[in-house]
Amino acid sequence: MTSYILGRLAQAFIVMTMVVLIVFLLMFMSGDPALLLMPPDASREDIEEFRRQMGFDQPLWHQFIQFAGRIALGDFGRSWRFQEPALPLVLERLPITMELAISALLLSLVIAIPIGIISAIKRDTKVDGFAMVAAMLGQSVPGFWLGLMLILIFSVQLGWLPTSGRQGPQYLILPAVSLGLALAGRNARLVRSCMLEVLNEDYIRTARAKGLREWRVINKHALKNALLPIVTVVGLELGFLLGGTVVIETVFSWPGVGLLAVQAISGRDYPVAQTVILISSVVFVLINLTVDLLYMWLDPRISYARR
Amino acid sequence: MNMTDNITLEVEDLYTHIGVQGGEVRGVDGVSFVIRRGEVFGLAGESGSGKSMTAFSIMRLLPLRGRVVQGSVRFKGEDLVTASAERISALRGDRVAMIFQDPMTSLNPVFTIGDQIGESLRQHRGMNASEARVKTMQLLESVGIGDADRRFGSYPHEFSGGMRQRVMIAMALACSPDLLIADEPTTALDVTIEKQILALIEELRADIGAAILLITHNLALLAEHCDRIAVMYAGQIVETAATEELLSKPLHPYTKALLGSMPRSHISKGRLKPVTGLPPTITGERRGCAFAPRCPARMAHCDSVGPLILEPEPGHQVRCLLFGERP
Amino acid sequence: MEGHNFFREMLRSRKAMFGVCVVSLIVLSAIFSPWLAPYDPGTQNLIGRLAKPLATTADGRFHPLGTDQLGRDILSRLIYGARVSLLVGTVASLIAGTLGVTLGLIAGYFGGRIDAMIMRLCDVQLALPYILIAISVLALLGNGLINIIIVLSLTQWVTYARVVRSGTLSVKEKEFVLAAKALGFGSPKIMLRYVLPNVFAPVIVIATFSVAQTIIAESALSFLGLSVPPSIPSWGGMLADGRTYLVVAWWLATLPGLAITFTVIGVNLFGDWLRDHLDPKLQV
Repeated sequence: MTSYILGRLAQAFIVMTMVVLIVFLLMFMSGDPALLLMPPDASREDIEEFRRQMGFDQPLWHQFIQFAGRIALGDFGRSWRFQEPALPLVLERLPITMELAISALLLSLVIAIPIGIISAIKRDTKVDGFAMVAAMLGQSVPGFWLGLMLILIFSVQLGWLPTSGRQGPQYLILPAVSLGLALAGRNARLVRSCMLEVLNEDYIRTARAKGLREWRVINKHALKNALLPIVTVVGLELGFLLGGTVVIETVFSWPGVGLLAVQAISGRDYPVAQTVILISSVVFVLINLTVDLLYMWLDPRISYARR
Repeated sequence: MNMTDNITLEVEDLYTHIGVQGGEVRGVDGVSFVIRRGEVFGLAGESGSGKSMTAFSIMRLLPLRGRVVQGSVRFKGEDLVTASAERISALRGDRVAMIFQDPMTSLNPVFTIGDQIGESLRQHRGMNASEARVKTMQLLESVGIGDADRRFGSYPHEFSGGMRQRVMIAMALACSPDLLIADEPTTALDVTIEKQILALIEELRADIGAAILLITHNLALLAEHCDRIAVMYAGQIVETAATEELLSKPLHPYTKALLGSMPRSHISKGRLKPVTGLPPTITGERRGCAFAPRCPARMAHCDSVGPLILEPEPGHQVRCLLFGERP
Repeated sequence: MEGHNFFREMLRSRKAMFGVCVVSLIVLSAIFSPWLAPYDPGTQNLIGRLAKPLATTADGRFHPLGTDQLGRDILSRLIYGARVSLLVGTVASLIAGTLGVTLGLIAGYFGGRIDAMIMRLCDVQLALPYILIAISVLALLGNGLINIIIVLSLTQWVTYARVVRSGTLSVKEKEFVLAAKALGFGSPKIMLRYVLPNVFAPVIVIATFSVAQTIIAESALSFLGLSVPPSIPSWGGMLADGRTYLVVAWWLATLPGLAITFTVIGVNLFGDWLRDHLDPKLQV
């Protein structure tokens, strides 16, 4: 078990190193990184000074080591716009994005799990067909357009909900729904397909042979087994969601890291943009690792084999 | 009155169809037999002959595409085919129990065996967790699983095949059922374990006085443990008799082929002698005898006339035109 | 794939036919835009700006779907907008597919270190938040059709790679592959002619879903102003305009979104049918 964990940690480390490398190389895309990292109104002497300080006249691999070293020590550069170190700025907003992402995910599960289970039980009937078509429709709607439509209906026309910002719990509703609906569609199909696989297994027949009521067979015997792969996929979805909130945050002016990044990029505040990318990647890798370990812990077969 | 009191299971004219792509297969095609109280009844046949389907039909555990289209299954006088879903749930695991062929896949991998055995007790006997635990430990002991205390919290994958089958037996006998259906209980196990498992079943059965429907392709097994044996072919029972009678005086050509025309003393050591060709899957209308294409004793009209069940000797039934066309 | 059977099955399925019809409609719009569009999509007409659908402007022009803030006809812009979405969607998926299938084949076939490296590459690709990377790259390199196609294709290749890799792993031990090896055929030949045809079925399914995803992604990027220059009509760009005028002109935001949704539904339905038909266990 420990060797497996160590192996995964090593993998994660390699992945992160490569991510840092790519982000590093991105800096050179526009030609001169010094220009990127300094505010647009910096004077020529300031830029030269900065260039020497950061060692941009050094060979590339040398710069990379320095860059990686700084990152490892927590120095992610300085936002010229806010006149503060970039890292705390980003970390401050991270929970706000997480709030949106997790709400959307939970909402999608609340819808998807019952629908998926019912579809599986009533497989190939009208209910199943209808539910799956609805799921597909949910997956086909672009989240940010849904957001606009919801604003149109619930804010502009009906005035029930606010259009943007984050000043209270009701501000979370529309963004979470916009983000969560497509997820709900995908998860409903996932739940259905996992349940169908499990319902075909022999031990379900055994459970029925023992005279257990059907609802217990489904909710106890089938569901727990189906949840294993579902948890894995949903965990990964959370990871992807973090990157995917960007457009929704823009539409609703939700003050998370996505919005921060978009503003940073268009405002040429590159250190902040860079930091958001790096932190998002770290969080993604950590989530993946957690999901792996969680699965190992949940499935008695695997934890036994590794003992 | 007296006679029916004695009958645990009476299957009459059972027909079960299974939907496949482009039609239906007649998995069980007119099966009738009787199991008396405390009797061990064997159901023999090759794979595909409909033995398991018969068992599933009795327990109402047919797969999605399967359905009983005709016939009755009377358990102690009560027809299981027409019973309500609640009634069937109440009977299953309590009065009628089943153990399955593959103990590896038949146990839920994410629950402990203590939990899985205790479920029937909690469901049918209303026991609480601690009562169920006590009884479960007793059951584990009685099926020969030592160290019951620790084993209670173990998961199925921590057991060997033989042990898992013991767990299945414990689960099935938890509520002392009147009828135990054993579908190929030892096919997936080692020969050495096989004997142990069957001995165990015998012993427990004697303790609680249950009737057993033992299903297997292994005639030797049936010879050793059963009171009566029925031989199935292509969804129908072709011969039924008391064990001694069947082995010493087999009537149906298929039975004879299975026994390899050997004297009885050889049978207890040997396994099934394979018959050439393959059993048919019956779709559409049946014409003539299903075994005719492979039958060494085949006559001219065997292809067109379907044989009915006859009883040339009391207690010995056979479905073959060699013995006449009408009962 | 058995040719005749396939088409007959497709014609019989409502799902597939609906999907095919929708997609065909969009494709035809894209190809025949100049003939189908009632007006030139770029012509501004400030007198008739923000006209409602089915309105006739002060200077007597009829707009079935209204006009935008510069007086441009919405229907025409929608028709021309199909070009961008389809072009980016299909080309990016094609490139992603080629890249992903190649890497997947190599990873699965050679195994060992190469496999590990390619798998780590997949992990890295997935870890990077695609939209932020896209925005950064486009901000640094500038807008443009080619840039956006490249950026989007880089986000899609991983699924192809993984599926092809797992297919390759199971196929490479099969007898006909071993026989080819024994005959001394070179690796590229074996991979292309023996392995690839046998792992290809799921690739087609993935491709359809990938096109759908790319269309949505492209519209998101043009919504943020990062795709094609604003002079070229694009559905996402129209949505961005719609957002500004949401309160006064609901049709500006509603109609392009409907177009996107409609197209994606069509593609998804067809992909769904393909999956049912070719490889029902596939999880995309």
